[in-house]
Amino acid sequence: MATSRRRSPLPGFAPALGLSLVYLALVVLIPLAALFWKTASLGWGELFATVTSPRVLASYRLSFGAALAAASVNVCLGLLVAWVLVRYRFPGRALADALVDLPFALPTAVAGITLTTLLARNGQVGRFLAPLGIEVAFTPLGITVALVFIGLPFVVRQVQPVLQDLDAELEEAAASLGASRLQTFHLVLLPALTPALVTGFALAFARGVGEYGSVVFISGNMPMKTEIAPLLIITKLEQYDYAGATAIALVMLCVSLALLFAINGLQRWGRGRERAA
Amino acid sequence: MSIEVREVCRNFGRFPALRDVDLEVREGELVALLGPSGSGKTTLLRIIAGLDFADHGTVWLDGVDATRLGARDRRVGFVFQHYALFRHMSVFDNVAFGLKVRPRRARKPSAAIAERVHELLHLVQLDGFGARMPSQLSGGQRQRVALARALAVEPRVLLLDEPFGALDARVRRDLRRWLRRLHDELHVTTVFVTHDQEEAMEVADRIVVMDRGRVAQVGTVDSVYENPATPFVFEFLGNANVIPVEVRGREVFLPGSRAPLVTDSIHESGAAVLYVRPADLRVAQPDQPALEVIVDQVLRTGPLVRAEARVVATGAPLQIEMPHLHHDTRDVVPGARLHLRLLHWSVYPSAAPAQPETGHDAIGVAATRRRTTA
Amino acid sequence: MAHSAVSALPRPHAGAAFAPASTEPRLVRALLIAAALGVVGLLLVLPLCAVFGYALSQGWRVYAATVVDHDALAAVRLTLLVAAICVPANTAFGVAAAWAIAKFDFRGKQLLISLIDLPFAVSPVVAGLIYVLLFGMQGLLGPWLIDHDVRIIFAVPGIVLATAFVTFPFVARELIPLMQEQGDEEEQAAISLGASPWQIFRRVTLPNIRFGLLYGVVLVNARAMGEFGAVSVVSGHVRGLTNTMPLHVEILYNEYQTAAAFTVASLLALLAIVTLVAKSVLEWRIAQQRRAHDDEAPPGAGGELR
Repeated sequence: MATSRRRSPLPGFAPALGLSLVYLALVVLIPLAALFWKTASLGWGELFATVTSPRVLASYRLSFGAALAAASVNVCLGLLVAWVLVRYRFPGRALADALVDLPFALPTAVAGITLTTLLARNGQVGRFLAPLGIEVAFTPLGITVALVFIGLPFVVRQVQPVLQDLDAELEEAAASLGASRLQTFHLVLLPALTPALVTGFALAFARGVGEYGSVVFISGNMPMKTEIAPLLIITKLEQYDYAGATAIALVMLCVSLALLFAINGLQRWGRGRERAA
Repeated sequence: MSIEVREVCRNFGRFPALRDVDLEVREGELVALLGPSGSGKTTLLRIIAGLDFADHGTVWLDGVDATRLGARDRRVGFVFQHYALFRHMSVFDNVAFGLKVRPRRARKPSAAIAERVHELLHLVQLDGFGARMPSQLSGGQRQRVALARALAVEPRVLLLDEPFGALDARVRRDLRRWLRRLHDELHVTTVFVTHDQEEAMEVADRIVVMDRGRVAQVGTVDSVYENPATPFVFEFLGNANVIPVEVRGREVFLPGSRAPLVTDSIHESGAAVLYVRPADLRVAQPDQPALEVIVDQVLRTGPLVRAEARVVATGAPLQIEMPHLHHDTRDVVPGARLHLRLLHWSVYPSAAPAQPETGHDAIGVAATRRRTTA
Repeated sequence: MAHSAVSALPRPHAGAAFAPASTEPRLVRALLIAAALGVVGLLLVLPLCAVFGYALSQGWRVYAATVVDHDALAAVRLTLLVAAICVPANTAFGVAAAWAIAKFDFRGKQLLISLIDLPFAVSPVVAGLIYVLLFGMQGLLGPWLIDHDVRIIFAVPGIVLATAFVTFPFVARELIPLMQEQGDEEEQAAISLGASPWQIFRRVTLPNIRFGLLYGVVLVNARAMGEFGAVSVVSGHVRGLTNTMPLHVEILYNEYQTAAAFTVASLLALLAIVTLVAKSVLEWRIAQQRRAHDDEAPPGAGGELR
């Protein structure tokens, strides 16, 4: 008997998928392949040597360390801001809510020079901190502050929807069983928010590791001390040390991919929790 | 338009949604595809519509092979369970959609389109609702708009996928009667899918009962209700008492009864199962073939008297239902020992697979049947 | 399927009923609000105001002169050109990818979604680097390009490509969850009513996704105009020729022309403000659309069956 091909009733699958794949290949996959091609031509030995040279290691320490610190700070600040925006009503709430996305919308270079100027020793903020012996600009602290700016929306926007969907009944049940507000927060709310917080942390961290524009101005760029990894890549490129730049980039790319994988997993975990609740 | 489906199979992965299904729908009929979820009825409907495609088999519309045609070319009207109204268009634009997307040459002028839309809105009793948006309508109103939209393009056949499934009971009852009247007026060949046997029996000319991807039985409402081809069909269309019996030739022996029931057809001798509806039991005369039971509980609920009893010979439970003014009901009291005769029953081979392995014709497989006198 | 905070499906936080049973004592509430506003103020409002403050620190005349400076105008033109190419290209891709992913089932769908996410995870500098490795003089295609006298790196095409990479996922990631949520029944209804593929898209799908689409476009545009790291790598930093606005800001800043740098930066900050406003409005519209679709009028609102 006649056998028909399995198809969908809707049209346009082949052209849509075809166009997408071609564009994806041209813009993303082939260029990325160039990185791996170049790496292949390096050989393990040279790759390893470059990646473990002191200057490079220092830049990794700085980039990863500052990103870690900033993401941690963002978890606290982000939770605070998200909580206040979701739970309370006050004049200017909508404005504050919209402003949370400023670090997304603002070009990184603009953020970079603004933060630097503000936090420099004679800047509007820096001048209050200098007498206290706190130097922000051109130090790792400055880098961390810049990354806190960049990463804040990630945590806030992850936590907000979860907070909004939380059933008030959970808190009411806890209160009826005798829990104080703090206990309710600690034992009931925080666990419910953990997937969102962890996901936000991971997103902020991933963004912070690779961040360039908002950091390069405030970091001072002293090798071994305040030189971030992306800057080191650019420096090597300017010196035509393509191999070196590639090696550093490869490590960063692998970390990025691992983080992407982890974030996907985290978000699936978060959604699973939500469904189970 | 007539529809013919031949040997259609459809698998979703390893799950066989349809297995070798044959079906015929005559011009102007109103046919119900009835079955539980997973029986394949919606899949079959969508294959007829061209919204899904069979792995094997063919679909013929008006004698023409339409298997390879897409939904666009089949000129069928499809009504979805959740209406699928275009949410951003008004009721008027929804109904007019099919007319507006015709190629320029075949398109009617806007005045004619507007007239047809208003005609249809009048038909579905939604005059004046043209400017409303779907979000402003109740579920029943949305379904009527969906129907009007499907009818606008003068389809050769109307296919409805559980059209009233998402509505509450009262609206559902009103709408299904209205659908029947609409069909009587328009005479468009109509196939609709439902899991509600009451709905199917009330609305349809013929019923197709489906079970796990196969057609269990096809027939008019009466024939399917009175002569169910398989235990599945029997149980799906109403309540059933199941009683093990002994068959010898033309005689069926109830447990604990010496007088046998007599059937028209000859069955395989041996153990079998007899199915009888609670409403088909009455108190027997002494010499009639009867089932001896002891009544446990009696519930008098308005028009019906319901009783739970136990068959003396087997200890198995039995449900009884009698109209409350029937003279027998005075005998139905807790603790009473009764002999019940069967007004109407069906017999099936014991431990028969619910679906025979060959083809769709449960009807053909041995031992079904039959009835008796009152 | 991945969501990043950047394009997480906009939630109805504006105007939605807010959680009751907030039973912190008043004082605690006030303190928390103050603290949060402090964070927002110090971290977000202050820098935003500072941009304009520094830009105008030498008065309006200097501001105006900087804006109409030849190199600045060239940077603006280049930025607009890059956006004018990247936004439509990535939008078209986003729509196509979302159509394939949301309305059909196929093997490798999850892989495709992950690949679309890829540019998010990559550092902008690495993004620029890979194009240098491909099209640069010592790159994979370097010799071929030199032979044919085609300049990609250190020229406008390179900037366009790097920006396209960085802004690649935005539209797709907005549309995919939106279109999945909307299902494909309306499209099926349209095709059963005889609509052609293009009619289905134009009359049924597009109106349903228009706010999500605009949202994605707004995000792509903001990122395309503001991209710094990736462009920094592939551009030649040649003033007046291969400088976008962010690069121009960097040059001015490094030359200690602080007010001028902030002047150009203020234009970008204005863009950011417009982006934020558009984003908020669109988020609200999307939530509104979603609510309207879920609503149902109760029976008895007229038009009952007789």
